[in-house]
Amino acid sequence: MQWIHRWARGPALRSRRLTRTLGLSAVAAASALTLMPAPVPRAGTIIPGRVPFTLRASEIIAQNAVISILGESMSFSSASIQGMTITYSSGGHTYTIAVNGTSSAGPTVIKTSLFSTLKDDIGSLFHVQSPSVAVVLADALIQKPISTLVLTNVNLTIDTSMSAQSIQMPSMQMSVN
Amino acid sequence: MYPEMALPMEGRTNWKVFAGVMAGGVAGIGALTGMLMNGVVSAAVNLPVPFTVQASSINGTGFNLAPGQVPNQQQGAAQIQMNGSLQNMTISKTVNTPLGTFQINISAGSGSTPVQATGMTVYASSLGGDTSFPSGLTMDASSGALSGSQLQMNNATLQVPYLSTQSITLPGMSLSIQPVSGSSSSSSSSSSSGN
Repeated sequence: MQWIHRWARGPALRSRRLTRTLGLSAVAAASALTLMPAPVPRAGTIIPGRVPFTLRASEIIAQNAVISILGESMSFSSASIQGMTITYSSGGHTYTIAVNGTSSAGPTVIKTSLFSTLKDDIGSLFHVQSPSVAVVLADALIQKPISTLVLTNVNLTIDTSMSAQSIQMPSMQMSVN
Repeated sequence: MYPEMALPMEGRTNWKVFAGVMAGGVAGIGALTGMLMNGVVSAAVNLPVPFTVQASSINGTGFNLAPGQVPNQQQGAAQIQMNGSLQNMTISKTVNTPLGTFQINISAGSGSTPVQATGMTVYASSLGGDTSFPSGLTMDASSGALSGSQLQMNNATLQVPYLSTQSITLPGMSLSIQPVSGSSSSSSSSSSSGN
């Protein structure tokens, strides 16, 4: 007989059940949306391989500079670098680090095989403002320190390394194209 | 056969128990959020969309930058790895929705306690600011990596397609959602906890 009673009060019971079901469904949907994991992209990848840098500067004033043709290196105790950009290409992209202003570097060593061609093609690497080209080449043969070396229009490909003990890059901007 | 046996079994929800469980869960999430905002606990974070990170200063250690690219976008991006503290950090992102265009800002570290991140990996399509490497910078052509034990940046801005940290504390975090001018509707919410 119980089902007869239930059937008799059917509409009210069905309405309450419907309301309850809809309410619980809404809560479940809200919870699912909240807890649903967002699609997270995979981390990027490093592009392997040798990446020579190109150091460009409108002017470099270096103190206690030593250029070594045999050692394929240049070092200095400090330098101020105007209009410095460092570019390198990898994976079809060009990475550029540009400094807007004067960059100050502490003790620095630059190693590149291009220094071995210095006596034949110094003009393609930089213009020597002070001292003269002849003095720089002579000192580079015997690794004699140059108290103040002034270079302009520097366009030096660094195929080994550059290491500075400290460096400041005001308004530095790195971009990828 | 009795007709009752043909009816489905009927269950009932104990609403007191339900409310208790819900209240406990909400209180737990609130407590975790509060502790995260106050820097009591750290959280691992993956942010899935391109966005802009700005900070008045970044002090990093174990800095390493290498040429890379972001998957699926074939976009060049430098991979930066370091541990760091970020003062006045803001993460911003403009999102287009059917309701309009909104600017989402997450700010933290504006007080005396900066944001602390460890094991941070960032793929940056651009990076700018007054930068210095007080303990040296090495560029190695054999791998294209730039590395320095210390990094200091002021007024830093990064365009970031991908950021991941092993842990991060966000003291004084606040979230704001603001309509970009010209948007047809607006919505705004914020929460913050001072340090």
